[in-house]
Order: sequence, then C-alpha cells, then structure tokens
Amino acid sequence: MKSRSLLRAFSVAATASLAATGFVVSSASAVVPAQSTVTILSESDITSLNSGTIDGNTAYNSTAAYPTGAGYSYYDNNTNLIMNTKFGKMSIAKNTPTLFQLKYTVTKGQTWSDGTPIDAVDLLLSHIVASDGYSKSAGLGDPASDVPEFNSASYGGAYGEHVIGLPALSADKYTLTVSYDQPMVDWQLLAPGPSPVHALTLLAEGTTASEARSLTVAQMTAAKDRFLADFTNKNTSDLKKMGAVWSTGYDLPNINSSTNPLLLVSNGGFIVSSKIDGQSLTLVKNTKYKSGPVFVKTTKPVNKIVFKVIDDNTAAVDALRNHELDLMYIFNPIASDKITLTALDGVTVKGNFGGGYSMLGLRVGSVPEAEDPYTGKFFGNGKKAKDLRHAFLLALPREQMVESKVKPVNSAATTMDTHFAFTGTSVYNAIVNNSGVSEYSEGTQAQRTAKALALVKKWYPSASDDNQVVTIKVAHANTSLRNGLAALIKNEEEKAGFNIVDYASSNLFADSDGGNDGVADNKDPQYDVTFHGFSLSAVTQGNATEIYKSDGGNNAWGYQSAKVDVWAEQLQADVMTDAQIAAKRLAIDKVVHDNYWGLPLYQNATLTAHSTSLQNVKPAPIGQNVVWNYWEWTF
Amino acid sequence: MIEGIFTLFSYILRRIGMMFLILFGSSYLSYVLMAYSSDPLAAFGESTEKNKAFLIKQTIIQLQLDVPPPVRFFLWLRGVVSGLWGQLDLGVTRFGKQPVLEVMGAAIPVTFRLVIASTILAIFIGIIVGLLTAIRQYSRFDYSMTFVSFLLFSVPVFWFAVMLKIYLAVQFNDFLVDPTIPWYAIVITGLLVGFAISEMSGLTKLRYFVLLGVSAGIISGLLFLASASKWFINPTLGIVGVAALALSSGLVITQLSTGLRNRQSLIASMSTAAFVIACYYPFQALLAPSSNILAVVLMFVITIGAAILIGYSVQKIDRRINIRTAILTAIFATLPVVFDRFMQEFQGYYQSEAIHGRPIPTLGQSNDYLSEEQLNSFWISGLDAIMHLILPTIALTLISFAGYVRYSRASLLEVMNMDYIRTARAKGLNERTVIMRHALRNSMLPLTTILVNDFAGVIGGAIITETVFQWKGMGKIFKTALDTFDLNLFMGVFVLGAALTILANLVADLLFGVVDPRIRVRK
Repeated sequence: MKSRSLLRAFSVAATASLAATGFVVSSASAVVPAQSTVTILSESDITSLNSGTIDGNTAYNSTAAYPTGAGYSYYDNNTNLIMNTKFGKMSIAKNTPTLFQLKYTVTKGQTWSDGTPIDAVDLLLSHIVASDGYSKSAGLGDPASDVPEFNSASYGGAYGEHVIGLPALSADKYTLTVSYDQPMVDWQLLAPGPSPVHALTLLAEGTTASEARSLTVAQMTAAKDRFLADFTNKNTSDLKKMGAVWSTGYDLPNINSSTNPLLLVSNGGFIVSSKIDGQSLTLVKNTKYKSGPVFVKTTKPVNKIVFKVIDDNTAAVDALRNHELDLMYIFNPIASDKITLTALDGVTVKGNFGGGYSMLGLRVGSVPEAEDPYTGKFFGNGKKAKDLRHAFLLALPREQMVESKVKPVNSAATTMDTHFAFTGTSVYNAIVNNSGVSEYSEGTQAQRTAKALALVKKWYPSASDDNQVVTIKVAHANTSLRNGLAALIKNEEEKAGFNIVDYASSNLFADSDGGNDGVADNKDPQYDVTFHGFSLSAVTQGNATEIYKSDGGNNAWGYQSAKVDVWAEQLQADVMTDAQIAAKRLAIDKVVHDNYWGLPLYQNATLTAHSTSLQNVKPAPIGQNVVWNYWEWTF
Repeated sequence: MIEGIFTLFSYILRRIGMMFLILFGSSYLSYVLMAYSSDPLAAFGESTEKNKAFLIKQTIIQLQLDVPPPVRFFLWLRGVVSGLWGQLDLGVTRFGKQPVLEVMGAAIPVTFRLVIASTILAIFIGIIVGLLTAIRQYSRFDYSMTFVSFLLFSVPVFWFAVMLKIYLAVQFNDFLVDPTIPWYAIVITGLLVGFAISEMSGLTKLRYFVLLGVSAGIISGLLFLASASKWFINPTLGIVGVAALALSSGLVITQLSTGLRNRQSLIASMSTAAFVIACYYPFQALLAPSSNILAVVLMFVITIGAAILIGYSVQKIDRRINIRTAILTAIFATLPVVFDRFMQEFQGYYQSEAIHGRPIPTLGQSNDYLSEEQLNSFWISGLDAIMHLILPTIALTLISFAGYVRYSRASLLEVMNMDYIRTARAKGLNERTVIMRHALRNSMLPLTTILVNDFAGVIGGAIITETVFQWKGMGKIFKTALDTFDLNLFMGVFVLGAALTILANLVADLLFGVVDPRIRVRK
C-alpha cells in the first residue's frame, strides 16, 4: 500500500481541522419573536391580482384577492350571504314586470388604501366588465364573438342580458341605480363590486411608479372624474387603454417596493406588499380599512397574510409540519390526508362540507354533442329500461360509499337526497320527504339489492348474484376517490345481476380532440352510467336545473322532459317566493325519481388543517372557504 | 491542416443541419400529440357557472381551439421562426399571460442554482469515492460503498426528500430549540465516523485501531464542544477554524499534486495558507455587511494573486507545479473564510421574525418573509439561499453521486490494467504519480460524455426534485404546463430541452476529440 501516506496525510489533516473548529466556543440564546403572520396554502400559482379576467387562475386568484377588497356581501361558513353594511346597502327600488331597479348606496367616509374616497363611481367598472351591450356599443368588442378589450369572465350572464341603459349615479355620487328589463332572481348576487377606477385611469394614462408615489388625493379624485366622463361618453380610445391595463396589467410575476402602487390599491383589511414569482404573495394590514367587518380586538393579531404556493400535497403537509405553513384547505381530500394531518403535533384538522356535490346519472337518451345515439340498456322510457334503471339505483350502495369514503374526512357526512338544497336545511327536508327518493334509503342495502335483483330477473330470469347478465359500463374520473367508489358500486351491483365494466377516465370531461369536436367521456354514448361532482360558487335559485333541462349545460345523460324544462326555466328566471321555489324543485325531483334518472350521492367533503395557535378558523363550503372571516383570526 | 479544419467545419454544419430537422420533426409530433391528448375545456366539466357557455366560447377563441392542432402548430412555429430575425416569440402562458420566454428566462437560473452545487458535489465526491474504491478493490470499504451507492441509486427522490424533510428540517429545527446532543449520540456518531475514516485509510492491525480511536475521540470531542457551546444556533469557525481548514487543505492538495516530500511545493502551499490566515482580519473589513459578491471576488483575486507570487518565488525550477499547488490551496483556504462570514449572519438570521427559529426550510427557493432590507443584504439573502439549498442539494447529491462512483470506479479499474500503467510502475514511479497522473486522467475520458449529457438533462428539468422542493425551475414549469394544458409553455420547455440534448451530443463528440487525440473526424 504505497498510497498509505496519501491517506495518512488526509486523515491527519481532516482530524486536525475538525479539532481546531472545536476551540471556537460562544454562547447564544434562542429569542424567537411572537407570531403575527398567517401562511396559507395556495394549491396553484396566483397569476394575477385581478381575479376577474377570463385567463386568470380564478379560484386561487380570487381567494388571494378577497382580503384586499370588500364589497356588498360575502358568504359565511353556513352558506348564508351576509350583507356587508360597512361598505353599503342595496335594495329594490322598483319592481314591475318590465322595469326592475336596484339601488346601491355606498357608506360615506370610506377611502381606498391610497386615501382616495370611495363612492359609487367606483362601482361603474362592474358595468363595463359585465354588460355585453356596453362592451359592444363602446367599441370594446362583442364578447360573443371576439376577445373583448376588457378580457372579463363576467360577460354572457344574466346581468348583461337584462340590464338596460347605463347605471344612474345620484347627485352626491354615493348612490347607484341599475335598471333591468325584468325582475331578477338572485338579485343580491348581482351587486357591483368596487374597483379603484382612479388607479385604473391613471395607469391607463401611463402614470409611472415614481409619479404615482407623489400623487395627491385631489389628483386621484380628478382621475376618477376623468373615468366617469370616459364611462359616460363611451370614450373608446381611453377605455381601450384601461382595458389593456385591466386585462394584463395586474398579471405581475413579482411585486416589491418598485412596483407601481396604483396596481395595489385596496379597500379590504389587507393590502398586497410583495410577491415572489411562483412562490408567495404577501399581504399586510391596510391602515385605512373601513369597508368591512372590524378586526376583532386582540393582543395577538394577525398582521400579515402570506399565500404560499405549493402544488404538491405531500410537500404542503411537510411544510405544515415544519411551521412554514399555518393553514391549508384541501378541496378534494382523501381519507389518508386526514390521517396524515391528524398525526401532526400542534395542528388542528377539520373535516367539512364542501361547496360541491357528487352525483351519479344514468344515460337515458342521446346527448346532442355525441355523433352516435345512445342505444344501451338504459335507453328510453320503455318498461324494461325503467325497471333496469330502477334496479341499478336500488343496488347503488350510497350509504356504504359515504361511510367508507366521505365520513373518514368529514364525520358529519350523510348521503345527499336532492341537488336542490344542502343537507340539513328546511327546504332540503321538504323536498326529500316527498320526492320519492326515500325509497333508496328504506330498509338495508341488502334488502334493496334483493329488490333490484327481482326487477332484473323480470327481464333476465337467469340473473343472480353470481350470474351477471346485464352489462353496464360505468365511467368516472381516474382519481383515488372515484376509483374507490366505483369498486363499491361494482361489488354491490353485481349482487343484483349487473355486470359492471368500470372505466376510470383520465379525460372524463375532455374530448379526445383538443377541445373542439368529438365528445368527452362523460357524454360518450358507450357508457351507460357516469358519476362525478359539480362545484358551486354561489347558492342560486336556478341551482342544479342545468342538469335536468333538456338542453342544460350540465345535462350529460340525455334527460328530456317538457315539464321539467318549463319548471327549470321558471326557477332560473322568475322571482318566486320560497314556497314556490320549493314546490318547483320538488316537482322536478319527482320527475327525476319517477323516471329513475339518477341519484345525488353526497355533498363533497373538504379538509382544513391549521396550526392550533391560529384561532377562529371557520371553513366555509362556498365563497372564500377559509379566508372569508380573516378579520376574526387571532393567535 | 486547413483541410482538417474544413472537414471539421463541414461536419459541424452537417450536424447542426440535422439538428434543425430533428427539432422540427420532434416539435411537430409533440405539439400535435399534446394538443390532442389534453383539453383545456375539461375544467368546465364540473362548473355550474351561469355564463358557462360564454366562458367556453371565449376559451376556444383565445386558445385558438377552433384551429385543428396540425395546423395550429404552424401558428406557433411562426413565432419561433421569427427568432431567426431576432423576434423570437414562444407565445404567452395560459394563466397569467406571461411571455413564455420570460417565464423560461426566470426558470433557467433557478434550475441552475438548484443543480449546480449538487452536480459539482456529486462529481467531486463520486470521483473521489470511485477512486478510493478502485484502489481498495474488494476491501470492506469497497463493498460497503458499492452497497451504499446501489442503495442510493435505487432510492426514489420523492421518498428520500420526505425523509430529509422530516429528519433534517423538522426535527433539526426542533432540536435547535435546545441544541444539546445526548452523550450516546455523541459516542455513536464518533465511532461511526471513526470507522469510516479507518476503513478508508486501508491501515491494518494496531494502526487501524489507533486511527479509529483517535478520530472517534476527536469527532466526539468536537460534537461535545458544539453541544455544550450551543454551536448549532451560533455557528462560527473563527480564525482558529479557518486556520485549521486552510492548513489541512494545503496539506491534502500538496500530497495529491506533488507529494509531501516535495518540500518546495509544500512551502508554497503552506505559505499561501498562512497568507490567507494572516489576512483573516483584514478580510473581515472587506466583507462588511454592506459588501456584495464583488468583495468575495476581490478576496479570491487577492489570495490567488498572492498564491501565484508565492509559487513563482519559491523555487526556480518546477514553477508551474508550485504555482498550481499554491493556487489550489488559495482557493480551498479562502472558501472557509466565506463560510465563516455566512456563519456570522446566522444568529441574527435565526432570530429574525422571518425565520422564527426554524432556519431549515422544507421547500422553496427563498424565504417569503424576509424584509427588503434583509433581501438587499448579500450576506443575509445569501445565507437564506444556502439554507434553502441544503435539503435539495443533499438529496440530489446523494442520489446522483452513486452513478459517478460506479463510472469512475469501473473506468479507473480498466485503466489500471493497461500496459502503460505497468510501464509506469516498472520505471519506478511512486504510486501517487501513477494514480494521479497516469491513471486518473485517462480514466476521466469516458466521463466527459456522461457529464455533458447529464448537464443537458439537468436543464430539461429535475421535474420531481423541483416539485418536491417547490422550486420554480424548468422542471416545475414543465409540470405546470402539463397540469394546466398550457401548450405554449410546454413547447417552450420541450424545444429548449430537445435543442440542448442535441447540442450536448455534438459538444460531447467534439470534446472527446479534444481530450482524446486518437479521435478524429473522417471525411
């Protein structure tokens, strides 16, 4: 070993160096300041501070935008729409069949974070970005056929369809009256949101960051007046410049002290202070906040909110474990997520109801988009098809599905019996007690499956629990949760004589042709059954009707009924009393169950995990989920 | 000669021409496949928005979904071809509408930062371990390193990362609250390291156990001191630590390059180390809190300059060798000064509100809570970057060094059996010269190809690593592109990755010709 000397030198040198480092001794004490920052998980990148554009990553952008803006209302954790009277009040000013007027008052004394007073002029931008007619007549493009100058996701809705004329400002500019050509359902949801139009105007005029820092309130108010003039006169060239800023100007990869402050103007409890591309968005307290609920008095306040982008669940859990994350909300959790999170120290885990629900539909007819007609076992309203559908639904192990896949996340979960109301409400009970759905929870599953087998035997006498003669193809998304549910369905339906061919689709809603023709798997006539979820962003009167209307946007099963179409139209468009609404919904549900179209499964479960030190986290099914009550948070 | 250059030139041109053909074909294929396999409208499947029809229509218009993919490719290609006259346009991202070029421009440095340290470390450690295992073929050390490298080779990075996060981040941060190490951990760690050192040394019998005892004792002693002094929350090297590291690296470098018997070389190296130590306090002034990377560069310039002077003046013959040894010593002796400077920031960093007493993060490229003042300080933001690099670097290094160990071991063993090695030994050269000068250099030849290709692969993205550690590099944006059906972003990453791979092949072929004179382009 001639290289021995080499290694000897090496080891001597290494040990000598290590020995030397040890002589350096000093003492230190661990002083750690009190926590005042909440770090919230954002499962996707926050791509824009303007969550209203069509290309935005809307769900994530709007959650991050919520603490920086206050408007007329918000959803609480019981799906109630709460009126924010700190900001203003809304009321019906006129209610006739051909003229319906809504009056919006802005509470005086509020200012934007830059000191500019807030008034009803700040509500007018909502009209530009939601009225298709205004966009067209002001030369900003027809949203129905072009890309409009304001690349807004709010066109094409009820507001644009029914609003007439320009919203009218009162003399003091604190009240706005909007007119419609008919009474509007869910009128509370049509309220315009405030936007700092002075900032938009100044940005469109090319105000630079350094100029913006030295602006006076008078100059900003003057800019607001220029906006009002442009709005009223439909000044196309000015509005186009604003459109460009509105559509892309807020898509900032990075935000720091050199960012134009006009882009960050806020009237919420917080204001954006910095952003690191693909990593985080930081909000700090807005000292001029007056537009919403008052922050709770505490000695341990939340002074900073950080949205941290982590698009990998495992990584997020480890971040929570290492206190790099304080609050996470998982939209589509599975049972193991809860087990993992519950095992962490200092973390509170809450299983809750989500905003969406899952349903299972049987294909009964052809879907317009599909080239081939549906001709499977469940087709039509013949006695045989109806009996088979009835049997399939009877043998559907809904309770077991909830028990094994949903309850582990949300212990309060139950089966859902109607799409038209959330579990536990009085409307819900009124519907499910009379719609005929109770048949699917009578007795035990074994008894129901036996009934189902009897129905199948009527047409296929050889059918039995070990002779599956009726082949049914089931399609669903290829996720762990859906695959688990499909396995339960297969297991139980086979006892009723159904031979289930299970197809886990990676593109349940995608056609195979890049999104222009062809048909997605959930509408493909080769599948007899599909099941998936629907997500809700608001509680509306016409809720779920699109599933059952003959030409409904969410009708993937070929449901057709003239009666249902009429009722659905009425629910979507006519202002009704609660009793009328309940009656129409019940009537639709009766048709659904008389024809054995399908069954709701359950209200989706969500999971919230947060540092136990963070108080007053109240996950809400819809609206802004966990951030809705940020003013109540304390440590 | 001229003809030779011409041949080479036409060869390169031919290869570049081929490259464009391959790029065109592969991008066309992948564009069309990607476009057909994904559907941006799928996101509306579960939507209950009232204006769903409008949203779908607008998405079709804005993403040009009404143009069939085989044709839509040429709309995209138009922007790429415009690159020939300097107006390269790879389109904008689907969400956020950022130009793809900008997104990639921001992602490439991130990927570099993530992989550069680990790649260098992996090559460095890989070659050293490969070398040692080849020299000590079929020893206990060889077998255990073979076992370890195969183990690490087969460990998936996402699992390894989770383990690192739990033990090196979460538990280490918890440990910092009271950084005292239990006595049994001190003893066991000392023994383990002692065993490793003794095995590496190749000593036998009594000497083996003496080395084991001494090194175990020293390691345990150091750990005890670190534990008692709470070194982990106030780490520092100080002039003593810097001196020890500088002198010992000087010794090692001299031994490896010329052998300790070459007194002149040893003097050059030790003098350089002494110079760095003498400059420790002046350097502290140079590396003031307001200083930046330029100060660090200046410091290296000073020490390397001094090394050249020292190497030049030690002796009249063999100046080149002495200068080389001195320069290497200067570099390795100055590095501890830089480490020491970063360590000085640690306590303030650790106690700042942004860190909250948990300095080792599990993910991210930088701390989200640092104030702009902290971010503007080269030392604090640098320390922050180092903290964020710790886990990914360990993960990537341990996982990829195994490959280099195997390659360099096999390659060195092959070379060691060559005739010219026997000749070298026969003419009486000492073992160090045989290995370092004759065997090691030749055994590095096949590694060139691997290195260049690895490098190209790295830019294509460490997708899993970047996802697990949430670094927004090329791999992460590639994953985002797939998740959000962002065709422009996907194609941007794809084309760059493909071009680099093809280029790397070309460069590897040319490099091989440079390092190995036997290889020549034929007509």
